Amino acid sequence: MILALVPIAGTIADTIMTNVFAERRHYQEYKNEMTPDFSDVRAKVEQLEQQTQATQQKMLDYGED
Amino acid sequence: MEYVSQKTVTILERRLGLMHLFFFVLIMGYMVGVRLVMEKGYQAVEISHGFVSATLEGNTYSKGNGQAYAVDMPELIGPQLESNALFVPTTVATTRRQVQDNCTDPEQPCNADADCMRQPPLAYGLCEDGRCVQLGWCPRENFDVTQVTVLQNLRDLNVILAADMHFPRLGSERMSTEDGRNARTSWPLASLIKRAGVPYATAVSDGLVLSCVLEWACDLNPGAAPCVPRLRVYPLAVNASFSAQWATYYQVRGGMRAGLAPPLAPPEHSPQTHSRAHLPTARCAMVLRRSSTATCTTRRGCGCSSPRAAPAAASTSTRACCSSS
Repeated sequence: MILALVPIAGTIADTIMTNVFAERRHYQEYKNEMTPDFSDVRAKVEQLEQQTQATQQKMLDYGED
Repeated sequence: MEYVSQKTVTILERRLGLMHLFFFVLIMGYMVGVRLVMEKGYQAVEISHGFVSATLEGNTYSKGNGQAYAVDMPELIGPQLESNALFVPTTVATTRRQVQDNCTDPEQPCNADADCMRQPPLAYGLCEDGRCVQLGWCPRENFDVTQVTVLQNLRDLNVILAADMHFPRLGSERMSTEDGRNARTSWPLASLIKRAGVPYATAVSDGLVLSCVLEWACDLNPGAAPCVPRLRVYPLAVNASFSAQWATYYQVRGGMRAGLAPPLAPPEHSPQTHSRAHLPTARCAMVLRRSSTATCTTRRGCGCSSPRAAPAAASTSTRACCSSS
């Protein structure tokens, strides 16, 4: 139960580090990272795969003719 | 000197965000809804202290040799063997008019004198009629002289459970079943047996050990409803044989009972005292067993048989019957 208080020290240090110190912008850049939006990645990949397959099929059709 | 910090990565993903939100709502719902609202986890909990007394109320009768015999409570549950428990016999065997003499013991069969123990002055190693002769209270208990009566209408008897309860830290008020609260103290014996889930006929014929627990789950906040106990009954042992023996002494002049001389045991109809047991929890054990060997002798040395299967809840009560003779 008492051990739950230990992480409070890190939380306070992080808060002061990223909001109070003069170098807070540098700290924020290193500490926080944002990824690209993965929400539609799968849909885009599937779309690209379909386009690729369609292109390859067209090339095969031309070759046969 | 350095400082190690956790790097925070914000992942932009719709399904991941929804999944995290789902578990967050689930956990918050458990914390707030279940632990705080339903279980009132913000309240302090304290183990109570109290005691309970168990007595029996009502009248019944016994049948033996074709005759009915009225039995009241002091006779039925006397002598008091257990302070916070009740031993309700269903069958009573009485051996009357015993005197100190040398007589045969049915429990010691023999073929010759050599089969009998020699322990003067109690026994001299004599064998008569296939039984050893021994000094003691005669006649011995046997089916020829012992009168067996079966108690009737036990289902109509009421068990009185009076209890006091106290929460020393949270509440200064001592709560009792007899201080005006709408607490029930009287339960029919048949009701207790039914609550235990045991058929009444089985309990009477085979014996039964019940644990009766008065549960006080109290809300001591201002304006809360009055706290009344709730009775829970648990069967501790079914088909549990149990017996108790006690003796009553008389002075006989000219073959008649001239008066009571109770230096060792109380007279048959002495006022029954309701003893209260101070226990840390409001728990009582009531014993209802077939007592085919429960013996009430009118002139006999005291005996106290130990139960063959003593229940856990009743084992706290010592069986202090007739320690001197």
